[in-house]
Amino acid sequence: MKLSRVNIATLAFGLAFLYLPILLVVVFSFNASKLVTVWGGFSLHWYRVLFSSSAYLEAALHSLQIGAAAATLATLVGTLGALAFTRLGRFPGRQVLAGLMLAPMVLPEVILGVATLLLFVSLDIERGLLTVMFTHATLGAAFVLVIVQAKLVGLDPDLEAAARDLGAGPVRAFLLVTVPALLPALVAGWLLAFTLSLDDVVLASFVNGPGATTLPVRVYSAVRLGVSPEINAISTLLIALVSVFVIAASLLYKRTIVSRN
Amino acid sequence: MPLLQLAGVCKSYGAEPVVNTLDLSVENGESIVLLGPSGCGKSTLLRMIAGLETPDSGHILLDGRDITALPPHQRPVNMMFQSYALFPHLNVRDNIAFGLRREGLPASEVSARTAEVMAMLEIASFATRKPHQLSGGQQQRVALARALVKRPRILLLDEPLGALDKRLRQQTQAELRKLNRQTGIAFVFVTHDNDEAMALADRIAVMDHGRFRQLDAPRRIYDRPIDRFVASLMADTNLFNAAVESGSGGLVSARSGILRLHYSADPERSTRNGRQELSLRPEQIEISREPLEAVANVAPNIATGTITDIDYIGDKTGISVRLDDGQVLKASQLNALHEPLLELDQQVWLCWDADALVPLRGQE
Repeated sequence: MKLSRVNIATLAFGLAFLYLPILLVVVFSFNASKLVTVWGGFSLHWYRVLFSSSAYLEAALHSLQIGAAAATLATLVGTLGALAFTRLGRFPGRQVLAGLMLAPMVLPEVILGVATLLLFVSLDIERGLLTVMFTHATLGAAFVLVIVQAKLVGLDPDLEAAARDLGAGPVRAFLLVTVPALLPALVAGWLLAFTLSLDDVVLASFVNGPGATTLPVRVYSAVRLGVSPEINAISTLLIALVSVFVIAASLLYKRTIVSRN
Repeated sequence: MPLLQLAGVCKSYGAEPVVNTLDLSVENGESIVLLGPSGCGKSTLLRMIAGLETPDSGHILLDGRDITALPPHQRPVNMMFQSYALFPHLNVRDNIAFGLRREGLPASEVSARTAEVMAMLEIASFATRKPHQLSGGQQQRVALARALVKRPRILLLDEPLGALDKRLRQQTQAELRKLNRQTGIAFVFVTHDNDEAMALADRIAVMDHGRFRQLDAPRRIYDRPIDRFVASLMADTNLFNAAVESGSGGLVSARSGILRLHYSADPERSTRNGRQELSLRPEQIEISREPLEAVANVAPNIATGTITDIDYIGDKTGISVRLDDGQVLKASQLNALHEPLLELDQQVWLCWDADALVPLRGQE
């Protein structure tokens, strides 16, 4: 395709629309000035402030812990769900269950937040890191299920049969052949679940408890008192982290497609 | 004792019987081909021998031992899959070594046997490539190597040549036949291709709706098909449903349209309601430009008609001849040099032997 002037203008406008706000945040995170909107020269000051703030560091640690645990649990549950839907054939309630598994994807987060909060309260479970983790895993599992199921459907059912025919028991056949074949989908699913958890404000603010504040929740409550420059620094770090994960996930997905052809 | 014995094996999916009370015995080193249209149950039967499907009833015995309930990984049989089912994350060498490693063999033996089979099948040059980097023919050899390296008692092959082009397929058929004779490993081969079945089989089992229609040597199946289904599955043929008129001295005469057919009676394939189904292979019909006299003991069957179609195939020519009553007979002849060509609308005389007409068992 030729890059005419119109095309370039459209592209520039599109990119600006999508990335200008993000770019501003990144640029102002290196601002020496205390004022958020006035450029005062380059400085790493706000990063220093950030890394000496125990409240932010603690929140970041919570987010990473919850993200990793929720992503792992989501991958496990989502994969089991995908296996059930592709391998078990028809079983009573399959349609209903398939719909329910995907409900967290389409349900407004507020409703999911309220629902899980009610569940934890009625079961008398103390709210904290674990409750946030489980809620995030619920959301992530739905996405993992979709990704892994797509991969499973395209997988030759004879692969596992061949492994068993060659002397592997059912469990080894699954671990030695099916899991490696699914690996790109599993990793992509894990990364997606992790970023979902890392991004989330709504669910976390419903089900977290004292001492279990995640980074986005901390940032949100700080912003309500006015945007301070260290927020820009946190945002920049988050953007970098999420970008790495999203790019990794999409590269993995691309490789899956290429190797299938 | 036969190597493999199936006794009364049944399998159904839902109400539909896929394999219906089958008996089969396979001798050591024998090559059996299960031939039939898709959905006839041949693959299901193969997978039951492998242990990938469980029979609803009946028994499978290997060396006289009942293996019906034995899971696939404990059976000394290996399968080559239609899709090849090569493990995409492993290279060629690791694909082949997979089965040996599951046996817990020492690494030195694993690599020695892997190298040996790769040399035999001439695939050592791409040992480190991944399956998706190989051509269809190469993948097929790797799949074969992966099953052979296990030194199975029986090698099961599920339409393994379907994805290859015709020339490569014929070449591979010859190699498989040689491999069967050299290694002495029994083959059970599934295909829907009748030429492939004849090229590979010691015996062919023609399957339809979960049952064996006929189980016999390829020559017998081709020359003496049991019924209409087998006759037309194996090759092009002329089928008659003739009204029996009289029999004398083993020779029976029957009428189909204006044709009077003379054939040798077969008590096993008796008539039904005074009618007899007959099969006549096109290549058994001799074509003549000159009028033929009806001389009963030289050529008891004679017909005449005009050519409506000529199909030149290279080594032979297929000719359709329409008789006066509208019946069309398919004949074929080998092409010889210097022989004048037949032409459309030309009148020709046809004759064939009494034994060329094969009585068929009436269809139930």
